[in-house]
Amino acid sequence: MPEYDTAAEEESPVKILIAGGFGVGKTTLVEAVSEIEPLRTEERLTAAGVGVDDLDGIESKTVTTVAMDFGRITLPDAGVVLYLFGTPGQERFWFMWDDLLRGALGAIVLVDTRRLDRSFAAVDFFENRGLPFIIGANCFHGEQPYTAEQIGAALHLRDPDTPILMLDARSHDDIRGALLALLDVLIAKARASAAV
Amino acid sequence: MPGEQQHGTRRRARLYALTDGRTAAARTVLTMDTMITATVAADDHGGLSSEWQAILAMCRPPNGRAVAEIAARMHMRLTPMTVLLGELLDRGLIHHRPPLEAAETSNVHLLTRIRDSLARI
Repeated sequence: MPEYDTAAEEESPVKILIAGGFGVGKTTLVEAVSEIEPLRTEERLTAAGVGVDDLDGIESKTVTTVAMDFGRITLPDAGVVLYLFGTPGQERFWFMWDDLLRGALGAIVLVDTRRLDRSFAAVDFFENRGLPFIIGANCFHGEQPYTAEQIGAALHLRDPDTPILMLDARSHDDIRGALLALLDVLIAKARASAAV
Repeated sequence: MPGEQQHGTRRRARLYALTDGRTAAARTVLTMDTMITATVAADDHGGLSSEWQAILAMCRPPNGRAVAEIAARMHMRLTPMTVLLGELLDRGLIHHRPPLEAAETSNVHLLTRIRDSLARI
C-alpha cells in the first residue's frame, strides 16, 4: 500500500493560551487572527485526575466538562503551527489540567475593565505557574475609560513591566500586535536566561 | 431487517467499539496540541471504520492536525479522542509530533522566527 513520506518537512505544534473571564471576547480574539473558523473542543475533568473517560455513567460531584474555543495560524517560515487556545472559564479546575500549560509559550489575558475581577484568577494562575503573559484590555465600543497604569494597579500584577495593551478583540491588527508584544516578552526572557 | 446491511445509516460507533474495548489512555501521551499526521492514505484502508477513515483523511501530510482539532471536527471530547488516536498510533496508521519542549520554546532563534512570521500575518 502506498505510504506517505513522513520525512517531509513538518511543522511543530506550539500553543498560546487566551485567558480571561466569561464574555470578555476570547473567541472573538481567536477568530480575528485564526486561519480557520474557531473550533470548540471539550474535556471532562475530575478531581481524581484526568486520563480515563467516564464510561460507567456515574458522575461524582467533582466532575466538570470544560469547553475551549481555539484557532490555528500556520507559520511555515518558522516551522510551527501556532494554536490559540481560549481557556475555559472554570479556573478552579485548571490546576488539575497539566495538559493546558504543557508546551505553552505564553498567554494573553484578556480583561474587560468593567468586570476586572473576572480576570484575577487567570493572572494568579499564570503568575504562580511562571507562564509569561501580557494583558489585553478589550475596548468595548472603542472606549477605554482607564489607563494602562490604572489597569495594572487594579490587577495587582507581580511584574510591573507586564505589557498592558488597549485593543479591540475584533481587530486583526490589534491582535497581531498583542501576539507580537507577547513574543517580545518571551524573546527578552529567553535572552536573559541564555545570558546567565 | 435481519441480515440486511446498514447502508447509509450514520449511527455513531460506540467508543469501546472504536478502540477495541480500550478505555485507558494509550502508552504514548497525546496532549491536546500534539500534531497528528496520517502515515497511510484513508482510501487504502477500506476495512477501517468511517471514523478512522475520516481522521486519516483529515491529517493527510503535510497538513498535520492537533489532537484538539481532530476532536473538535469529530465532535468528540479530548480524552476519548486521545484513546482513539492511541489505537491508530499503535497500528502505525498515524504518527505524532509532540509539542515543543521548554528548551525549544525558550530558544531565542525560534521565538524570533515566530515573531517575524507573525508580523506578516
